[in-house]
Parts: sequence; structure tokens; C-alpha cells
Amino acid sequence: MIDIESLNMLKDIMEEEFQPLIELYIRDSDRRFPEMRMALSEGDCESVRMTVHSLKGASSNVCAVDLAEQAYTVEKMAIDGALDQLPGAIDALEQSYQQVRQQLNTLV
Amino acid sequence: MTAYKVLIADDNSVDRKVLSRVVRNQGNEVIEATNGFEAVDIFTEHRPDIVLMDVMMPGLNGKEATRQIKSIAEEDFVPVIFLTSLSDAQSLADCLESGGDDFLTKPYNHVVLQAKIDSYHRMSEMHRTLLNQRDEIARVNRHMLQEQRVAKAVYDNVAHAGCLTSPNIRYELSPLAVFNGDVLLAARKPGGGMHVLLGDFTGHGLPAAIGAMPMADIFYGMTAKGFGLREVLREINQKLKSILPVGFFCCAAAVDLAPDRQAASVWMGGVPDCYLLRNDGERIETLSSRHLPLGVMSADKFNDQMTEFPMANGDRLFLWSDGIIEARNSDGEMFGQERLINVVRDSAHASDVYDDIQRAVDEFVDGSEQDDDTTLIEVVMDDALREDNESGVTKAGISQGPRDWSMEYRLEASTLKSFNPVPLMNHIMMEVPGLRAIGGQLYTVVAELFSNAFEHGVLGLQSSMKQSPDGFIEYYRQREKRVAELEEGFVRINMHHTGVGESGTLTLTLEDSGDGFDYKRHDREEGSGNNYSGRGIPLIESICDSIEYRGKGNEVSVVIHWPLEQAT
Repeated sequence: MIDIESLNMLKDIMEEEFQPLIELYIRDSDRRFPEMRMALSEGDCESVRMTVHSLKGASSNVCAVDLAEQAYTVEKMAIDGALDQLPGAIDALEQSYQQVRQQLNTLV
Repeated sequence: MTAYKVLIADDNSVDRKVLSRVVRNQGNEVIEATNGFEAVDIFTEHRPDIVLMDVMMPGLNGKEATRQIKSIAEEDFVPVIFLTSLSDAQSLADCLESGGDDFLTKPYNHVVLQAKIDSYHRMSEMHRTLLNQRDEIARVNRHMLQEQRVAKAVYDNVAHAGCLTSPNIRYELSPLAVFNGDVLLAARKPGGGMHVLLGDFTGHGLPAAIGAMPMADIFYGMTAKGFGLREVLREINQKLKSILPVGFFCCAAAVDLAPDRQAASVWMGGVPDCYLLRNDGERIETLSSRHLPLGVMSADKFNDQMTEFPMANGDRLFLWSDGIIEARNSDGEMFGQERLINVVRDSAHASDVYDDIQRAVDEFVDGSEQDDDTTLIEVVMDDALREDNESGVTKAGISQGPRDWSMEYRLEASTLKSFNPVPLMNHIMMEVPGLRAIGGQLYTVVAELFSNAFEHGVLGLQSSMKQSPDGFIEYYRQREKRVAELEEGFVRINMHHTGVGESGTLTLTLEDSGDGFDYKRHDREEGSGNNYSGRGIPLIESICDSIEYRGKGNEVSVVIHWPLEQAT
């Protein structure tokens, strides 16, 4: 799920900033899911799109390539305004995120 | 490595932190902005060298922030590189169309990132250099115009309009003519009449203007003191020759307008043909340059020979520089001598010619963005010029200066080898105001008498040698040889002047150490007219009241009364 090799490279680049970066990622991402659901309940697909877009970028930065990929499909749904598909997709995305979160916590 | 100041604007804090770290690791200084508004504020305050801008940001998005930054930067070049995860061609093209300079797709390739930062930094430097040079050029140009204004003011003081405003003159001269090398001078002569000089210096700008100042200075100064135009031209030529660099000279047309003789003496060097139009409209006379421009020949080779034209009242002289002939129309075609002569021919009356020429040239160049450097002057013979009204030196001036004096100057062999006393003799004579008006002729007389005494007397060269072209060359070969071998001999020059103020008598006597000659026989043969050895004698005869050879023919004495009854 996480590209360990790339993550180690990131660790080399960030050095002492690596741990804070991962913590920042987890903190940011934790609040993105309630945000997405809130926007979804208001039918605001554009906000959903912005949020999932950010999650996608952040995830790819911490080498969670599969999660980033999954976020991208959700982003496309938001662009298309697929209100019926989005709730399930967001739930599935959160499950994947929780696994990444757990893995990251063990790694740092 | 130079530390560049890089602004990173990205609302996604994880993305921003990673990119910021990478850019910092590469030795740059990073300022972070978390949204578009912040990016604009930080840009204004910190003026970074380069901006890395996320496209999608809440509030003020990347494209709008870029527009604002570019407008704040004004003419400074601040490269903005868009950060995007979009990779389709249209999205990338959109980035550039909205004012970005480049894009970088996520995830970033670190090597490409640094290469882009470096490359844009070089471009910024180049842009800055360009702006600096542009400002420098503008500054230099302002400075140059300022200098030209000052130079023009100085020039105007020296080369004031003289008597160009006289009723017998019409002229056209560009206000900045001094910088296209054209000069127009006119001055009343102390004894009546007028000197007019039209000059056209080689080149443009200051190099062309620089010679005009001494030229005007000499022209006005010497004319006011009563010097003849030949002497004025001789002096100007010598001055220009000595101050102008090789290849710089002044094409000129000079006119000595003499209403008392109803004539004009004209000297033209290097200017296009000019015209003399009779008041009765019957005849157009073409005046052509016979000399090299002023400032080309050394003093001893300068030819001050003038051509005299009879001019009745109302007759008109038209002089111009080549500006009028070279005036171009919008197709780049030149006005040309042919159009000019046709205008002159087609005019109903001589008095219309000036206006007709102006109109024809104006119509011809109409619409073309040519500099106005057509210089044109019309000089009309006017009997009123006889009166030496308000102008500088009057008869009172002529009556000043030395009256009764004599001087003897004896030159021995060692001096004769390398020293020419003629300019000094001339200088002494020129102290007498009444002699200045005939300075040119006097110079020729003294030069001729001295040359006879030295070459035929002291050196013993036979004037008859100069009768054939081959002999002429041989004569100068011999002369050189004999000067080199000269050990004994002398020339004695005696100048004696008596005067009453408004007239006077100059007696010049030259004696040499030579064997003399049979002057009685020479006198008889003088009428036969040989072309090589007789040079100067007709002139001597024309202005000297008497020429007397004495002794064995090694002494000659000439008497000149001034004012001349008829000047040449």
C-alpha cells in the first residue's frame, strides 16, 4: 500500500522534518473525511472535489500511491457530480486511508 | 550556488512542506504562502526571484494570483511556474495562457525542478540586464540631447545670424542644421558689400558641428576687420585642415558680393552646381565647384582663386548644399539635380525661383519621414549694399593701425634652406587695415616675389626650364638638390609703408645674392605668354602700380597704392 522505498527517500530528503510531515499528513487527512461528508450532504460537489484533490496530492507525497489513485477516482466522480456513487466511494476511500494511517504510524 | 528567493504557494500543507524542503535542500531561500491572497501579499513584500504556484487553491486561485503578481511586478520579469497534477495537454496549455511561464507536474522530478529554477533565474538576469541597458541608453540619449542643446546655444552665439536677415537674402536652414553639418554665414564688409558662405561639413552630429564654430569665428572676425574673402577662406582652410581629423572637411560655396563693381566673386569647393539668374530672366548661368573642399589642402597648396561674375541689381545667386538634391521621397527616391534645374527653368521669373524650389521639394518629400536638412540661400545683388551702414569696421576703423613704417628682413642661406618668410611678411602687412581687404592678392605678390628671388636668384634656377611639362618636373628636382647643397646667399626684403588713413602706399623691395638677369630683354618677352614660368606676374601687374628691376636684375621693387582702383 505504501511504496516503502520512496518513503525512505522522502525520509532522507526531509530528515528532521519527516516525523512532523507524517503527523501533519495524518492530522490534515483525518479532518478531510468529515469535511467531504459535510459538503456532500449540502450537494456541494466542488468542495468535495477540492478536498479529495488535496488528499490525493498529500497521499502521493507520502508515497501512498494506491490511496492517491483511489482518491483520483473519487475526484473524477465529484467532477461528474455523481452524488449517488460518492457516499460509498468516500467510505471505501476512508477504509483505505485508515490502513495507510496505521502503516505510517508503525513506520515512524 | 546563488541563493534564489523562491515563493511557494500551495494550500496543501503536505505538498508545500515537501516541495519547500526540496527547494531549500537545493540551496534556495523559500517563502511559503498557503493561498492565493497570501501569495500576492508576500510577493509584494519580499519580491521573490521566482514563484512556484499551485493552480487549484481555494479563495484566490493560482491563475488569478499570477495575474495580480505579474501586474505588481510591472516590467520586472518574475517567472511563475504552475504546479499541477493535471497532465492533459489542454490543462497544461491553460496554465501558460493564463500568464504562467511554465508548469511542473506532480509528482515533481527534483532534477527537472532545480534545472527550471536555474534556467528561469538566468532569464531573469538577462531581462534585468536588458532593462538596465535600456535605461542606460535612455539616460545617455537624454544626456546627449542636453549636450546638443548646450552646444547649439554656444554655436548660436558664435555663428549668430550675421546679416542673413538683410533684405537681399532669403534662406532656409534647419533649426538644428549645425548637427547635420550645414552652416550659413553672411556678413557686411566694412567698405560696403557682403560676404556669404554656405558650408556643408562631412558627417552628422557633433563631429559635423565642431568645425562650424572656428569657421564662423574666422568668417565674422576677419570680414569685420576688412580682410578679403580669399584671405578669409585661406584662414578657414588652414584652421579646418589643422583641427579636423583626416577624412573630415567642409564643402563650401563662398561669395564676395561687390555692388560697387556690380560683380560677385565666387569660390566653390565640393558643392553641387549653383545658379546665377539674371533679373531679365534671359539666362541661367551654372556655377560649378572648381576647388577641393575646405580643410583638405595644406596652406601652401590651397587655391584661393575666385571666379568673378558680373551681377546687375536684381540678379540672383542660388546656393545650396547637397541636402536639397538628396532630399528623398517616401519611396527613397532622391530629388536630384535634374528636377532642381527644371524647377529653375520653369519658373516664370527669377523672383519666383526661391518659392518654386521650396514648393517643389516640399511636395516631393511629402509624407516621408526625412530629417529636414535642406539648406538653401538666395542672394540678390542690391545697390543699397554699397553703403557700409552699421556694420563693424567703418572708415574710422580703416584709419587706425600703423601708417608710416618700414622694415627690413634679411634671410641668410641657412635660414632660406628651411624657412618660408611669406606668412610672417603677410602678417606684418595685415596690421594695416587698408591692406587687409587685398590680403589675398598681397599674399600672392609677396609669395611670387620671394619665390623669384630665392629660386631664380639665390638658387640660380632658370625659369625657362618650366616651359615644358618635363622641364617643370626637372625644375623641382633641381630645386630640391640645390636647396640641400645651399651654403651661401641671401634674400633681403624691405617693406615701406606710408599712409594718411584712408589710403596708403606700400613699397616692397627684394634683393637677392644671385647673378640677376637681363630684365630689359625679359620685359620684352613677357608678352609672349608662357604657361609655366609666368604664373603670378599678371596678378602682380594688375595690383601693383609699378614694377621696377634694378642693378644687374637681382633687385626688384613694386609699389602698391590702396585702396585699389579695381580689385581683382
